[in-house]
Amino acid sequence: MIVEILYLVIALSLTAPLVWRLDGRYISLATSIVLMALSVYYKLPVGVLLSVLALSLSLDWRWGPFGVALSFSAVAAVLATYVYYAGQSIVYSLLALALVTAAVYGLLAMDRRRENVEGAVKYLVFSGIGKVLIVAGYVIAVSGWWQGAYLLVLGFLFELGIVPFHAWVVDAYALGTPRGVAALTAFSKLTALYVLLAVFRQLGGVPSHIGAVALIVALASMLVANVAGLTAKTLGRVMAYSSVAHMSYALTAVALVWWLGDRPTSLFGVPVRASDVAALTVVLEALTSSIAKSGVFGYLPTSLSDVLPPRRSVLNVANVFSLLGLPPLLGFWPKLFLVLLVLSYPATWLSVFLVSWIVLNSATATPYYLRAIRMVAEAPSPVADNVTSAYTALASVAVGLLMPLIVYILA
Amino acid sequence: MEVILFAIFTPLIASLVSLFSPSEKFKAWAVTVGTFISALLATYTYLTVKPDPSSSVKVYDWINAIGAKIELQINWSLPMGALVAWLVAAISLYSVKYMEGDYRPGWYWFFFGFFATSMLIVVYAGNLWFLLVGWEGVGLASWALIGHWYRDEYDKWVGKEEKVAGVPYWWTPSKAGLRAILTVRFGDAFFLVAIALFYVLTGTVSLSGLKSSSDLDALKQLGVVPLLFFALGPFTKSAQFPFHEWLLTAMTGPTSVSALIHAATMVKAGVYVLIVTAPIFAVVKGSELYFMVVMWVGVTTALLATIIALTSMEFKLVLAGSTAANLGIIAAATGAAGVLGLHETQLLNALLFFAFLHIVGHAVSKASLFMGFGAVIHETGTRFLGEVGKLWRHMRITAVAMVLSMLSLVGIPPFVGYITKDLALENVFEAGHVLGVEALAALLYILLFLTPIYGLRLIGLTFFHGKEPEEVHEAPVLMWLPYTALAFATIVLGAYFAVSIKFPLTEALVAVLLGFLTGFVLYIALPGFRSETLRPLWEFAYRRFYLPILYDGVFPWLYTWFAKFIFVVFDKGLFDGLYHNVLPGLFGIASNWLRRLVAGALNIYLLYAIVGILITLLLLVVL
Amino acid sequence: MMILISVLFPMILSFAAYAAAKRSAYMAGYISAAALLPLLALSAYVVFGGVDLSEGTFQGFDVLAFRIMPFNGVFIFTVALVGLFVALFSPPYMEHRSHELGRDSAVFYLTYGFFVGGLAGAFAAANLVVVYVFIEVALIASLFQILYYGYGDRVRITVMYLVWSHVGAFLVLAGFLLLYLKGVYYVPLLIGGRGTGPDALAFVLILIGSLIKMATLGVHMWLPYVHAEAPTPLSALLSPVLVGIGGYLIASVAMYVLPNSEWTQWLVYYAVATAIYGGLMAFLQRDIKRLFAYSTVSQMGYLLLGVALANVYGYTAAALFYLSHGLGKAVLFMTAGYFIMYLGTRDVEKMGGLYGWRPELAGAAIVGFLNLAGILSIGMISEITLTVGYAQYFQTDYAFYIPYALVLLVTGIYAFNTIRVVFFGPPKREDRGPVDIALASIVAVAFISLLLFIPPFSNTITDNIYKAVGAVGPWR
Repeated sequence: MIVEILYLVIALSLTAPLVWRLDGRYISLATSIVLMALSVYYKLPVGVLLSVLALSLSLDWRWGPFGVALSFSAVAAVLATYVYYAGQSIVYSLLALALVTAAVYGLLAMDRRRENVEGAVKYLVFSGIGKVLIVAGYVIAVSGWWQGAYLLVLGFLFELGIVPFHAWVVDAYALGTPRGVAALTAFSKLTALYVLLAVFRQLGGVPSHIGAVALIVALASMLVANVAGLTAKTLGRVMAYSSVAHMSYALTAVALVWWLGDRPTSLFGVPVRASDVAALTVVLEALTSSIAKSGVFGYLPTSLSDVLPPRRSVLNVANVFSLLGLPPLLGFWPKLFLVLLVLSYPATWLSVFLVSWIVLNSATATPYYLRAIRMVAEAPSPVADNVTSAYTALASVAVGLLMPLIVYILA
Repeated sequence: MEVILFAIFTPLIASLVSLFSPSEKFKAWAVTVGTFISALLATYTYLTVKPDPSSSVKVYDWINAIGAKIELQINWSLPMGALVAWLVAAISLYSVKYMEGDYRPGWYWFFFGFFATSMLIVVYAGNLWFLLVGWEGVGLASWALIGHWYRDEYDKWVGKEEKVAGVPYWWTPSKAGLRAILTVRFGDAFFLVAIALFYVLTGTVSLSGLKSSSDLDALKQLGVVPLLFFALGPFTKSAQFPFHEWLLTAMTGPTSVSALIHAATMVKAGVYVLIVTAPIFAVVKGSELYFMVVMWVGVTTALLATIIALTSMEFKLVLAGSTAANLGIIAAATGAAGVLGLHETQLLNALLFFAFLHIVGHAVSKASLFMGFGAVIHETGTRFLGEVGKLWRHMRITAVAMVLSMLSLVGIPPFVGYITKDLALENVFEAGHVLGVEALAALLYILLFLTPIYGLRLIGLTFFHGKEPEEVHEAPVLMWLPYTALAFATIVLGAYFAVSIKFPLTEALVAVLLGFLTGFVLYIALPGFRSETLRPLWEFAYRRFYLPILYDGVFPWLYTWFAKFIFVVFDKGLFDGLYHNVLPGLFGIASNWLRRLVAGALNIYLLYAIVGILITLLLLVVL
Repeated sequence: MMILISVLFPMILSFAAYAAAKRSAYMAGYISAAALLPLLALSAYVVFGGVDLSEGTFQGFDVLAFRIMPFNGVFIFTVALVGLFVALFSPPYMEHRSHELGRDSAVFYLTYGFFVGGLAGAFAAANLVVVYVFIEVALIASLFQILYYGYGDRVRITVMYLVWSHVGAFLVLAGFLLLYLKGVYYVPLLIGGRGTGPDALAFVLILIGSLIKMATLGVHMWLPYVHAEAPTPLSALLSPVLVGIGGYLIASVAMYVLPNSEWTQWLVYYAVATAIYGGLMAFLQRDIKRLFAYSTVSQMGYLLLGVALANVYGYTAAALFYLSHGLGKAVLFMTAGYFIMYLGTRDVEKMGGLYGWRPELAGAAIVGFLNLAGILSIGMISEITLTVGYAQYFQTDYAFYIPYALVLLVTGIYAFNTIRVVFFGPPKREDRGPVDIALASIVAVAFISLLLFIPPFSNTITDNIYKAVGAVGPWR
């Protein structure tokens, strides 16, 4: 598939000038269809989900020249996914990460308002620092020094927006153009997580003490994000804190395995390894966040999301419930698997603490998710649901409902 | 045995039937017919079934898991059943006229039949769980009927609109009902616990099972505490001190109810159960203590209740106090029988028989008195003693009946009340003698002296002295027939008992006659008397020893205050406050602070990032 | 498939009820009630017939494993019975509430079937995760009912309910997952307690999660708010049947992984404290729905006590308490609903002398209270059985019986005091309460609670539960 993607990138670059004639959405439409075909051919379900998401975003908005950027970000995401599942070289992953960052930077600044640019710049700076750290760390780690792992982890902390490196997330989400933010959540975050999984799988793990540090930071980040979100006033900011929290959950999963080591465990009676469960948690977190948030941001017609939504949405309520983690929606499952992961380690008091911490955080988050639902559901009529909200809501519900079947097949 | 079951359940069936017609007449006659059928069946049983003290006849397996069976005992129950059923029937007939025109006939007649069945269950039950069903039933019926006039009209109260130490000294029907059910509930809780203990520790709650030899060892080891728990049930049900208050305010109910439930039958259930279980409990190790407690409680109640009867200013209160006193006598006699006959079953049974006899003697006398004074209240329109008088001229038949019943009640020979009371008290005198407590005899003499005085006071102030009313006539025949018949029965029964059992002749008679003389002088010859010197004493007794202040004032106040304290400190303060105010507040503060950190300037964010890196490095070093 | 179908039936029919409610709440009510008939029949057959129904292979991770035996059968029976009559009660009330809110009652009836079906499924399912799923379904369904039709600040109340119930549910789920990892896939009580060893962590997690759902002392705060502000037909379901599920979970799962039987004594003390606390608080309330809510807290103390005693009588009593409290509290909440509809008030100080206003209602409400106080209704059987269980536990430690007597007394105090304040005293109104299907439902449920007291009903139920539980209890 790498070759095909390469061709696709070249094709996109060549067709870029077309945007002066037609709206960029047609380009991204075509790209999504190609990506969908590729994903089906290479049996990449996540790829299908992503490409349909790109498709719906294309259908909903006029992207102008930024349609190309949207295409690139979608391509990057599918690439990163493929690299992880097919075990290809990390270099491609890193390339995907760079690509998506550049594309999303543009997308965030799409409406060219001062705030948009501010948000985009912050994204770029922190993402940039993160990538430098990641590349440097990777190189050092492959050469055999454990400090490389530390730099890698640090890089991801920047990239994912874990506390205390999270401030940019709030601004990027709130101030960036909502459609750009949709792309950010849909593709950028997901890419970053797949890169994380791929990198660490290749490295074979992380020294235990770094894992402990990562775990502590992740847990603290979870709490800070959830508490801070309680008084967030606008939709964009609530979503930002939600994002930090979700990324923290994902990090917790992998950090736990890094710290305590991999071990055999079982999932509904099927024997698996803890690292598999952690990976599953990360993937599901990525999907939940990307699908649901792109639905929420993807229906806002304003030029920033640091506002109350101007129009109602009914379908996005499902998306927010998914982010809240209400069973049987998609967002419930990563939390479940995280708890299962915790429980598969025999240390009783640690398990109690972690499970309680997770439950407490979920409980703390509930009020602000419900406030987000109110914002979305009680905005003035008429209902402004579009293709993106429909698709994402459907995906959040359907994938969630089918999850037990999916896990069964996977295991 | 089916006959007994029919006798028991016919009144309930009748009362269920009565629910289906709105006509008061239909309800009244349906239930009355039912009670008469029941009475006939009970008499048939009494005449044909041979008493068997050691067996419980099983009729139906109920809940095997806890040993509950519908079993009947056929020993004391045979005479008691006949007595109860006939009293129920008589009072039912009386009620047809008494309750005419009432605003709630459905409630009254339903609970009347319901009560009758429950009481008969108590009488005939040979299994303690089955007994409990009847026990709860009479308690519920009592509550329902005491509070029958739920609209709380003034003329249905007990007491006047006055407060003593801030506590109201008047009781409306609904309040009196509440007092009754809560007192009885208190006793019933321990009663229930005791039955459960019997089941768990001996494996059976069947009366015959408890007596039979296979369980004897388990029974012996039971200890006295379960017995005391058990006794709390009868104590509250039979209004023994300090649980007597509810009976006095129960007079808010219709007088027919007072006659039936609070004189002749329900309150007797308690002491009846004490009698029936005495031979079983005698086997238990340490039961001397139990019987002594029962005896002393009985004596105390008798004395204090007599004093209350002596100073009450309402007809029904005098009678209620007298009932409590006589229940005390029966309880004392039972306790004394236990003390004396602890190791000799035959003696025990003989002495218990004397205690049992007083149930009969008192029931007959008291039922008549209540019904008669009910007629007085009905005709004169007042419940207060001394407001109307000289009724001899206006209600002849009633007056005659009341005089006869009263003489029986206060224990003047040759009426049945004398015989049974004296025989019962003989137990107590003997026990006092055996235990070496001479003070007991003294107390009993005082009791015997005071009793005729209150009786004659009631008769004198109502029928012979006082303010003559304008328009009062005799009660309708359907009302005076039952109580006059009973009044004459006191003579007939007296003769019967004197011949077939014993005519007691002891020093006690002297005390009685002295009391009679005093009472005659004070209230028949003279129109009562007042004494300023004795006034504080009278006040103390009239206020029922100020116990209502405790029960209606202090206890409810303490309970409410305690509940409010817990509510304010724990419920609102700790739980509500913590979960719904403090915690959200804390989170809110923390949240706002955290958000303020995201100030907007990129350089500050980079500063945070550097701080973050430093922290991670620090953690790395530490771990 | 019979059990599964009976459980899903109300859920499926709720769509029909939704459509019907758009036109007439009465039709929707009838549909919702009829939907429960299969469950009622099935559970009655088990409970009164003493049979044992099961379906599913119970091999590996079987999601279709269901079992109804007399113990959980009583729970299902109560859910079905109460659900049926509350459905019949609801139309006049929901019309009244719809009128007040300006929205129709369609969502109510849509979620009704899911709520009741979810609860029944939770009791019937043998697979632990399936139990959890059904509980979630019920919780989410009831959430929407409160959100759409509740009183007061209903959004805040919904949030409160969501948070509390999910904290409880997640803790329970965590406990279940721990058991999963040890290879225990099914509810231990329903598989005869096989294959479970002590597990302190799972016990604590399931216990605390269940206690939160039961709203026992210390974690009870949400119940007065939620049950009082929920639309009354929902309160009539929440209080009787939802909170008891915590007790069922403790009895059927947690007690089987109890690490140390000494721990039960603390649970016993805690249960007694809850019962007394709830009763004390109920006595003080002016809002009649809050009064009933605190009464539920107290009665949950009774249920927990039955479970904590961990003997065959205690378990039997716990199941019977679920039934008696279920029926009694349904009557009382429906009565409160009747007051709300036709008197327009929830304040007991404004009531008084209401016996004459509608005597049948007063009689039914009194029977409802009798169930709570344990006098001459199925409530008496549960109380007696509990007392025997208590005596079995404490034997000759006589001091412990005094708090028990206090529990009974405290219940009697608030029950009879409330009857007096509401129904007795000088009448304040001239009119009469109307006779409608709501009144009929109330009287019917009261009548059933009396009917169940007499043989052959009382003994078949009790003896069947006793035998069934005796064979599989955790004390063996």
